[in-house]
Amino acid sequence: MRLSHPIFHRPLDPRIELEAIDTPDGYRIYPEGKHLPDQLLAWTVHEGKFPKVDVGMVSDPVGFEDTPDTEWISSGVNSKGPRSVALGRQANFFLWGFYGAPDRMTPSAKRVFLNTIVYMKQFDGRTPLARKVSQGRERIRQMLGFLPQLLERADESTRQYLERAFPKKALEHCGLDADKLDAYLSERIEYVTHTDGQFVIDADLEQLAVPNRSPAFFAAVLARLVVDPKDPVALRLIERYVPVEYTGAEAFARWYAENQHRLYFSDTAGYRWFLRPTDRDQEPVEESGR
Amino acid sequence: MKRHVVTVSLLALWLSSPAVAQETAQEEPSSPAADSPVIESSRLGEAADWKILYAGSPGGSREKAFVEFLGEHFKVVEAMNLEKLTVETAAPYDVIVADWTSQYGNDGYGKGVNDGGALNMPKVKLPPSFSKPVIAIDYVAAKITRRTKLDWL
Repeated sequence: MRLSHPIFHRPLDPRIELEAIDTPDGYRIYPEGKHLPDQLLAWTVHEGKFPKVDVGMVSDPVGFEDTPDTEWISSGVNSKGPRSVALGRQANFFLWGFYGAPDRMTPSAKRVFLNTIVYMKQFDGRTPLARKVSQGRERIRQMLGFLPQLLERADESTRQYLERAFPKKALEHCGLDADKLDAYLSERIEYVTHTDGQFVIDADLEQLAVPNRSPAFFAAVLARLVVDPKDPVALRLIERYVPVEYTGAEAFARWYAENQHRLYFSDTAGYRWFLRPTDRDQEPVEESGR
Repeated sequence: MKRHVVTVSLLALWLSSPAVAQETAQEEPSSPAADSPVIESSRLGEAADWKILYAGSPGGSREKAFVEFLGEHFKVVEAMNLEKLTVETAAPYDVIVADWTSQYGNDGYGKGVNDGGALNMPKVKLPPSFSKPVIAIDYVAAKITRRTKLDWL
């Protein structure tokens, strides 16, 4: 819960009161849930529980903030993990994941809801920067956490599911041994991409030992192009990851120098670099509704 | 994807981050007058003059609850069938609240799930050009948007 977020502060003071709850047991199999304390501080958004009140909805936290138009604001007690998104924004859309209507909301939740209306007005005219077309690579770490439980099922459909959940190269080396997979993939997580619905370890990235989502990617590619403007590895990487057509080493270097401040990498939008639009301010305006 | 039957009614904050837990705003004096909708509307400033659209399932208890609540704080609040929400119908409004029904037979709505029935989902998909601010309640976020990160986990 990002308590510092503007919706928890203005224009109305929500007077949020936190209470201790037992950490849901289901959180422990998630990487971010292993070391949670026995209790968490929580804020009641609405009265009533399932089945008298519907369950709400959470969104996938993996890769949620890998585009500049998103904000992870809060999770909520749920069955999908401690960081699942219950309150979050992408561009002009805000997820209020809780079912309770105002007749069930707590007074503080009503104020936060009003604050959210005021906060969202500034995003009039925005649209999402990219569609979500792939899973973020941190899904691999989650699957490693689930692996022991899933292997207990020992049925064919689960095995097939697991074999699609990890890169083939990792499975060739490690089988479905959780410890071996963890060690193998931890060393190679920065070389992961996603193709045809499957995680893949990019052989070119692994050869260069260069992460695809770091500025070091461009440094490595440019260095190779200085030596050979037709370097096949560099050209493959540009085509695979970069939003510009390669027309020569000098032009590419010039393009990168002019645009590096706008570049961001997104797993969920397709494991590529993207250019942030110049007419959008990715940082929300703090003053709203006053 | 199956929905998991767990209430999402609380927000969780790590106990191991006491600094965050302490980042609450200063308490204001509490009194019935201070809490009244009229007082809180004045604190919304010019936002109180905005036009708010509740786009939901017409005539149900949720429409009533949202419209009544919003009407206490904003000068103009109108209701519309979510299935009629388009770029054109949204144009006159400042912010839209998008909502639908219970899926479990609560609040006067029919059961859409867990009783052999299909989910009672709104038939609406906003185009990529839709750019009005929308606060989407519960699963509506996943239904009205096209492959955004506000998906159904």
